[in-house]
Amino acid sequence: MGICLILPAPSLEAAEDELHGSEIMKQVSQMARTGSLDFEQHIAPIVDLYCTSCHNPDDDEGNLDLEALLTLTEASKYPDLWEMIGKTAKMDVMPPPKKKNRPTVRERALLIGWGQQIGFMWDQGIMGDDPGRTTLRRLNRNEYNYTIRDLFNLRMRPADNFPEDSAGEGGFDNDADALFLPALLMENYLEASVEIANTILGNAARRKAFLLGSSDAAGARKALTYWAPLVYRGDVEKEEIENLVKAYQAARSQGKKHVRAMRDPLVMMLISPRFLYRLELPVAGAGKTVAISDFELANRLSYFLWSSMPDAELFKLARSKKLSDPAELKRQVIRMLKDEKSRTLSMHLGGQWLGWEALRGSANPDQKKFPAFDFNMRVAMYRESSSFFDNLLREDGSIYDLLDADYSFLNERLAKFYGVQGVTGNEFRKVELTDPNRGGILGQGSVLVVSSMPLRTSPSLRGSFILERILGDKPPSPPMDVEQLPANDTALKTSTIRETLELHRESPDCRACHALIDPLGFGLENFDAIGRWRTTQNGGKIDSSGETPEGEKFSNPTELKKLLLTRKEQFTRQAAQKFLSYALGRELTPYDRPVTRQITDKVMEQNGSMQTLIMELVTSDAFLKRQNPEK
Amino acid sequence: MNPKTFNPSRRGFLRGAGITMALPFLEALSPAGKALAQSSKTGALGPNGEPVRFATFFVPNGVNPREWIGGGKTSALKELPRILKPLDALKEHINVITGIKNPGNGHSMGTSSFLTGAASTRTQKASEVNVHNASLDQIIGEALKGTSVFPTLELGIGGQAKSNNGMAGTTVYTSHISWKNAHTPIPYEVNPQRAFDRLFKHASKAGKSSSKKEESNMPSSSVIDAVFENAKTLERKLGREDKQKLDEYFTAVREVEKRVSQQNAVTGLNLTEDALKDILGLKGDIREHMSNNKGKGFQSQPKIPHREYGHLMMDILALSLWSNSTRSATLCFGNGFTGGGNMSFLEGVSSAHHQASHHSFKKDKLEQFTRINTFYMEQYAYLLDRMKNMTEGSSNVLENSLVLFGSNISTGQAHNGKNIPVILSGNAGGRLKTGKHIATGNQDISDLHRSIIDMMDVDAKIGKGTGTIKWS
Repeated sequence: MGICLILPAPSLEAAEDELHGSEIMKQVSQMARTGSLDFEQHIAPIVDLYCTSCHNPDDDEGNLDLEALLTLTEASKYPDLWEMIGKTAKMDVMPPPKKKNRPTVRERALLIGWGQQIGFMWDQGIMGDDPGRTTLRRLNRNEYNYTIRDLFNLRMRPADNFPEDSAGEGGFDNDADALFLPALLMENYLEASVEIANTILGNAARRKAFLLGSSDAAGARKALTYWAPLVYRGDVEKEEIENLVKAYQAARSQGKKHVRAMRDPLVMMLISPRFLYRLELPVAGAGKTVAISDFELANRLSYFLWSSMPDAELFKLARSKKLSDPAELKRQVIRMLKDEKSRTLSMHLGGQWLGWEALRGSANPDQKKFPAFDFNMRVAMYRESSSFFDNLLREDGSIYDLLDADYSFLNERLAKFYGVQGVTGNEFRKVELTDPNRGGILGQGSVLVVSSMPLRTSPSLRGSFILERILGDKPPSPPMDVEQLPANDTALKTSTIRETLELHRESPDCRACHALIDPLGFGLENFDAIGRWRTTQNGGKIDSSGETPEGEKFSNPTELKKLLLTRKEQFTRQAAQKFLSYALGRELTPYDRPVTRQITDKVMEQNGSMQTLIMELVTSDAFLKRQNPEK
Repeated sequence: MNPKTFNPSRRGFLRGAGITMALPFLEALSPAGKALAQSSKTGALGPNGEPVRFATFFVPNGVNPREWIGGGKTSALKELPRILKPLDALKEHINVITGIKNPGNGHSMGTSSFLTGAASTRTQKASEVNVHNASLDQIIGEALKGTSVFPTLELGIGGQAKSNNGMAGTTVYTSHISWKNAHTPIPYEVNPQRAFDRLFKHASKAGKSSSKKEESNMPSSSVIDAVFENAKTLERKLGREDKQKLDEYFTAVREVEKRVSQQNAVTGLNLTEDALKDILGLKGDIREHMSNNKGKGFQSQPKIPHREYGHLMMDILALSLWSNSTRSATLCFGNGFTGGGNMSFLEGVSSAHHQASHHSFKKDKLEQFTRINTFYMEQYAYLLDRMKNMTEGSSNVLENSLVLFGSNISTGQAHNGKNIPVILSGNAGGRLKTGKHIATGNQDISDLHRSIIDMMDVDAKIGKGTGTIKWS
């Protein structure tokens, strides 16, 4: 490492320019790629000089103690943190702009380079490989409803009455660690179990289908031996069946008739943790990492692709241990994607990742200002986006169609709203788009609404939607005491929100990030807060030109999308991470980076193939293996 | 039902409900009430044995500090500033407490620490969630368990925060003020119909002359016991971390099991003729609002105009206290970020709650924020007024309660927990004198928590400190 890295300290204004494309940055990147940056020699002194006066164990600014990370061993554990530090160095926002003692271009280049190097080493699996583990995972509300539907052919949706589930770091409500079990929910479980049991046993045809055998203990045993493995979604030990039979017998001895007595073991199954949670038990005598069992695989597959329990075919294959056969696994994935039940992916994975789920909740355009956005429009926008996503899965489309496409799914009302001709009737169908600005999710009402405020558009929200949700590139949190702009565009001092935002960015605290975020949002300013096309705002002409953080220019939504399509790797990686986090029901760790990397590479080779994404995921170590937990 | 047909001597026409007309409250109650009066764990009681209750009214995003009471010394309340004006008629029942410090900063961690009193561990990961101790409402509920039907009640309006909006902490923090313990948040009920049914379904059927014994909608205790035993067997097979997660299951079963067994006994439910009349009135109001509610199944929260929604939830809350359904309740007006969402239904406001809170102290923006703050103070006044009009012998529910008003941050501009707006109303059965401005001069919110615990006469600790509030 004999390269001499000395450059004169630049002025702050010129900092970004001098770093970007500089000789020093090239040198450092080259070193990072070959893993030749030395943490303790190159990096630790910079961190110690500029960061630890605030980020230390006493001041603990931002709950971040960088003093603890001054050794290579400790520093190596946190690639995401170093990438974030690299990002702040690139934007030159840390130390805060008001501080006079600032890192030089050389030092910033080194921080960026270290983020690249440690990230790269994790991506390649050099730092370790581990399939991870998902905490004991409770069925969420959707999964509970779908499971009851598939278990008993019942469409009662009892979980609609359960309290809302929280979301984990990945933004999904199926994250095991964010699925708590408060007493209220237990109360709901108890009530639902009785309601379900009464519905089954109170209807002649359903009762017959459930009871199966004679009206005595032998009949009870027969029925429970059939049902317990279905309700518990796996092998059931004899002892567990006998416990259920015992409950039946206890009810009989209290004078209850056969049908009523069968309610007790049925209720027992429905409030058992074996039903309410998904179990992956320790395997005695095995190593630290184990391949998941065929039953576990059946469950992982069905809850990933269907948000529900495995069907008879999956159970059968699991029982005969054929499901884990690679060819069979692929066959099953194709079959499952064709099934109507896989619509859950477009609703819950797609909706929570790309925003249309918010149409069912928090999205709230102002009724007075936007009377066109009524309940039916809300539903229509949701249908458009979920159908679009669903179609990609079924037809093995390309994930890049999400960024730009020449088609969408519309009914008459939504087509008219967009100004698309020739669509009549209420049902949704695939429609060719002639306006290149409209294609892809960034031209869909759903995304445009959920990234707006109630009374106006927000280029900042839309810009951060593109950065965070699409490119997976989260900007650092804004400082706590920032000012926000007026909430209604009629209250602006300038005619367009764009002009106001440009003034706003004169503040150095805001400028660093908003200079990157807002221009992306400007590209969508031709769409108003409910997604209608516009060319003026308050009499001022809409200017939808801007540039990416890398400095490429665009002048309208179409050109913005073209530029996003040059970020395929970043977008593919983001898609891989979102799918993986949803499929595993947990937040990702650095150990998941090699798998994310592999999926990303394969999907890119196949030009964004949605089914490749799914197939690579379900055949990855993260999906097929797991840690063998300590007892 | 016509309340005139109500016959208070007909014990047990309500499953699980005892009836009382006269005070002293507890002795006139059910056997459970009598037991309560004799047991040592009653918590604070009013002059005639009325249970003292605790309620929290939480609204995020702070207030305009210029229209709130500033520093100074503890004294009688003078002319109320603009935001507090809606409380004018209730002035003698409130204490405005200034200088309270919430240890959690910002929308996320400031929300989770509001009732826990401890700065939550800063994290984006649900697996690392740690608020250090149970929240005040849960501590009180746990200590007074068995003295009312439900140890605690959690109500709210609006959904959980789902994306972190660049905030420092996880959305799990942003969405919860009530915590069962350091790691388990308790979500609030947003649906007034469900909240009502859970609390009053049986009560509101009262008087319907059906003598047919309705079968319980809960499994029998023996079934629950059997499940519990089997789950214990399963627990032994689990890995260590999963065992911890399954603890939530056992805790929840134990808690609910008590309620199930109480259902078949006479409980501490106190239904005077007046209370029952109000409950039935509320039943009609809820039905009316919910039947206008479009999009059932598609929309995840009821769509009811914000003002009326608040009134419904506060009616439920006040009635749950009056009927002794619970002695510890919380009501959140939105999660710690979104709050009430779009507030443009208010005159002169064209803004969402959170955006308005970032006012930069600029006149026009501050005016909108002040109007929003004032709106919530009207809501709070509605609650206090309801409670004041719920008579209990010679006193009323407000006199026999403590009703905390507060927010996660001081004002949107600062985003920190220094000098958050706090009001403590009601007299805790004669334990708290009101009508004052209490200037604490930068005291930790856990000091206030400890004072509340003391006044609730509950044997419990919160946080590490020992400080309390000086009331004069």
